[in-house]
Amino acid sequence: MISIDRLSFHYPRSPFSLQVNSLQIERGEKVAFVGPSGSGKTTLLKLIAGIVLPDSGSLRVEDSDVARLTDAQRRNFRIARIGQVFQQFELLPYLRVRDNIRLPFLINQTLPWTRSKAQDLETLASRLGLSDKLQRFPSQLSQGEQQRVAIARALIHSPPLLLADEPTGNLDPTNKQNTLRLLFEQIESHGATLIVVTHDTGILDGFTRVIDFSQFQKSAGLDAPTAAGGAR
Amino acid sequence: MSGWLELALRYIAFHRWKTTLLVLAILLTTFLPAAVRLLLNQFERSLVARAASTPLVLGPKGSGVDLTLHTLHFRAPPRDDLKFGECQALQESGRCLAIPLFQRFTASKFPLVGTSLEYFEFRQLTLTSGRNFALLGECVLGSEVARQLKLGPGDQLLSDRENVLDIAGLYPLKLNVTGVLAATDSADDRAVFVDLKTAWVIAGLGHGHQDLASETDEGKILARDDEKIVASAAVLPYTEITAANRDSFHFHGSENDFPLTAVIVAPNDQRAADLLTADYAVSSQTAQLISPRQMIDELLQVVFRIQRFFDANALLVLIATGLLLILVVLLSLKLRAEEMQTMFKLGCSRATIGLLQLGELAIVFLLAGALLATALWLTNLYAAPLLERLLLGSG
Repeated sequence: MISIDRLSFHYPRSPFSLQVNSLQIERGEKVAFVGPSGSGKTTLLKLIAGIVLPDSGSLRVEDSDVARLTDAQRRNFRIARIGQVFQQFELLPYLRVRDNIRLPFLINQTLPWTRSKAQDLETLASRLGLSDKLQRFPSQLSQGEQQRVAIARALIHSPPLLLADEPTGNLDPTNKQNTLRLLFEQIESHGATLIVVTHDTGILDGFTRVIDFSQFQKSAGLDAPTAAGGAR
Repeated sequence: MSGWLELALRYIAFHRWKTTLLVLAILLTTFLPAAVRLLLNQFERSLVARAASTPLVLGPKGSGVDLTLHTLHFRAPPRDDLKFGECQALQESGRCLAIPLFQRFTASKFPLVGTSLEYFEFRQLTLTSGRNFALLGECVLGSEVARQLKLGPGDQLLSDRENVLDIAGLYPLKLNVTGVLAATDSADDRAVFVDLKTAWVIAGLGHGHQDLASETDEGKILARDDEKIVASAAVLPYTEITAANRDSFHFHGSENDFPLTAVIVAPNDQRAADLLTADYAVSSQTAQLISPRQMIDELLQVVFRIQRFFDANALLVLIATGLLLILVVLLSLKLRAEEMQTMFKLGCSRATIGLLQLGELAIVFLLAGALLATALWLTNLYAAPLLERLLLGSG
């Protein structure tokens, strides 16, 4: 699913740099990236999504070498093949829940909105307990409900890869467990791969693999990410 | 519907008050200069068209512009009168057609214009109903007068008293409406036309009353000899001209001395025009012969000087509003930077992000443009005639 080989990255005008000698993630895996701030967890997610590009090395997601795609191809690849959940949810305040979930179809012509997709939205909303909230604006929802909307937005186009950056970081313990349960359920029902960045070691039970970036920092040169410099 | 358009419309609908403010700011700053230009252009067209169709005007000496506006738009009459003999002399010169005008009175606040039938032919006025005036006491209504007063042939209309407190003054005369003119979008629409003699009757120069020669009531006769009978105030003039009393109406004095407020002069040719103009310039102490077109051009020069001031002011306001709009747009872009970053991270195409930001601005300008067009259309419909009447003081 994901294959990284001798990847190197640094932000311009920043001491931060990231090296990943080798990393393989198989289809259907549920992987957690843990480690201290600034260790490169979020940066690696951005590299996998093609939001930032490696300085050198190879990064393949499915059959695509992300660095070799053009900007337009990367955007199309991202919208079609990857679902993303952000810590701050990043819902659009002026769209009702229904349209926030439908957003990937509104912002890129690669995804055609069809009648069956509309039906999928109803089913997904029902499974996430959002059926009676589809006409509300994000400001009219609780934090847990907003995160469920963000998950629905990430899953509506059935992506084979779901990237979640601190998806439970702003949630209370109850919402935290519910959100994780929903994420796992949806991933398993879609047969997708899940990568979650988290600081919270209390939620790692359900993951098939945990990659600790702090260990990689200490053992630089091994087949794992190595980060140096400031927080990212 | 395209995704970007749907998003832009949702954003505008969600931020409707901000959008309303932006639209209003654009509308208000563009409306004033646009409306002023529209109204002045229409005012100019109307003034120039009427002036161009009136070659020369004879009137008492004084302001040429006032005389022109009075003759063309029935604005306030000149202070002094012209004698009817002047009009007769012009007509008899064989150099022109002379159309007399006498307009010192009103009927239901509309100017009451005493003239001859040549006026209608000269202005190419046609009747939509009834017939032209033919007898003393008859009148023809302009289209707007008929519409506002809901009058038509067979109805009656009372001339206005000059001063309601002046009980010893002129009596109002009941006029019989014989016809209604077709609309011409000119001052003629807002005037009541009567024969010159009817206008003189209203002015008190002619009147009708009971036959005093056979009057036996001594209370009505102050003196009587072989040559004349002096009536007392108990003998009242008729206030309505009917078939029964029409023959009793008569004028005192010489017709040539009766007043006119202006004469429209249509010379036979340019030579006649030049000769007439030179004659009056050199020899007349009391009258002036002017070219309305020249007078209107002078008036418009003043108007356009004022317009240039308006334009300069409007330009500054537009620049200030434009700068504020740029500021609002920049602030909006800054506020929406995170949203655009989210769109980018999700995989929004570059074109969609651009269309989203430009689309909202375009929709705001389209809304303002549509409202501006509507406001200008309404201005043209309602404010243009109002402005013309305000500036020209007619009707």
